[in-house]
Amino acid sequence: MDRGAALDVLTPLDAARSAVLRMSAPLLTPFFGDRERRVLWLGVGSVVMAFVLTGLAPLWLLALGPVVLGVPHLLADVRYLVVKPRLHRDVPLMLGLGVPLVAVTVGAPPVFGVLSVLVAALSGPRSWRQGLAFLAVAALAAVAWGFPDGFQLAFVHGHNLVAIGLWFALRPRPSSHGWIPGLALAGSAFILVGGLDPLVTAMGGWRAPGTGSDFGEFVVTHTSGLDPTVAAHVVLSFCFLQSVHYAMWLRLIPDDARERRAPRTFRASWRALAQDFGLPALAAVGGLAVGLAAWGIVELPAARTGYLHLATFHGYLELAIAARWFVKGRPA
Amino acid sequence: MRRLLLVTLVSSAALADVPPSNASQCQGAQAGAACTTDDGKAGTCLTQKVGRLDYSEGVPPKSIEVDMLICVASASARVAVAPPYLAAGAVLAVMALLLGLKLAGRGRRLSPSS
Repeated sequence: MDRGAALDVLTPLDAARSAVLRMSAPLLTPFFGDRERRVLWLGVGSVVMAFVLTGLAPLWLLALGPVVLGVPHLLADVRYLVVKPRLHRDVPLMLGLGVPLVAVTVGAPPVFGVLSVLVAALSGPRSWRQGLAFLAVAALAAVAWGFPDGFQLAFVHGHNLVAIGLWFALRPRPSSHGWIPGLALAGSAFILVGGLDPLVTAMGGWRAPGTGSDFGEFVVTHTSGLDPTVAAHVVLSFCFLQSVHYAMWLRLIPDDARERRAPRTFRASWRALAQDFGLPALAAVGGLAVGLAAWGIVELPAARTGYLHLATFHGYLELAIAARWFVKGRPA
Repeated sequence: MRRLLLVTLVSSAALADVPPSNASQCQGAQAGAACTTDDGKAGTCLTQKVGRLDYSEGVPPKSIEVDMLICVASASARVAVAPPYLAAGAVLAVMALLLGLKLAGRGRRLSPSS
């Protein structure tokens, strides 16, 4: 991948965006005039869109979301949790985190993933926070070891909320931003009590043969021992929160973590990305994303499964960094 | 016993549906073939009626039955499984050891005599 060629491609996109922004400025400025308002409305819009799409086509959202947005969101995970805070320069920490994360990705039991959370918690200064984190992680590890199936299911659902927590803790923010996690939780609760069922039924969303999967499949893989109707609601809630999770990593966290408060051009974004990762790594990740999308065109369920296998590490990475932030405080 | 989520997902990648417990090891096998159950017992692949939930018309789902090869444990097969609380205790012990080592290391570094 050539940096100059990428910039050439992005130049007309920047010009088009500038033109659109100029034309729509009178309408959009009240909502997007500064970062606080922009993040608020982008967040609210993302949650509402995730909710509506869950009602319209949940099976398509479950099938396509990971295949299309999965790899970019993993890149954002690593970028904002590891590279930006320069944790990658801490070799002992990286080894302590990386070895169990790789192990769990290649099939080791969930307790290995929890081990990475322990390493992150112990990497901070000794304090009551560290003691509390240690106790919590130890309890988590005991559950992961003794009841791996139940733990895995709970973790698959819970990690979507960890991203919301990480975003909220990223920096001091106005109370109005509380609407975003509030709406996400309210939406999930509404789905869990069956509030979205009429829309899903009206739109024929309970089946989507083109995805190669059905609701029964997701009920088996995402729930255990629940009443069949409740289990379907849990799957719908997962679909919604997974979409919110992607919005956090691909839209809100990048906007909030940027030093510059104003939006930057596509070219500036590309330059910053290339600076963080280097072109060879970006080319590899880009190839992975394109390859996964191509695989999805041929065989969508298999591509989704392949992605989920690859992504096993990221939930534990998010939890590990959350533990580190709790013990050490968030990075400046 | 239901397999781990990701194991289930991966093992069923080629199927249009996710198999129930003890089904993945009989995928592509003939009835009567030897197999190993999810919890490690020796068994045989036998055709069984398997209940499934059909959500295609919404909730509550309809129950349907399909024929499927399932790995059924032989009557004499046994497997020793440690109770979960023993494993949980072992994990807690390792955690305590790790914390102790870390605190001891810090104590040595902070000690004025060192």
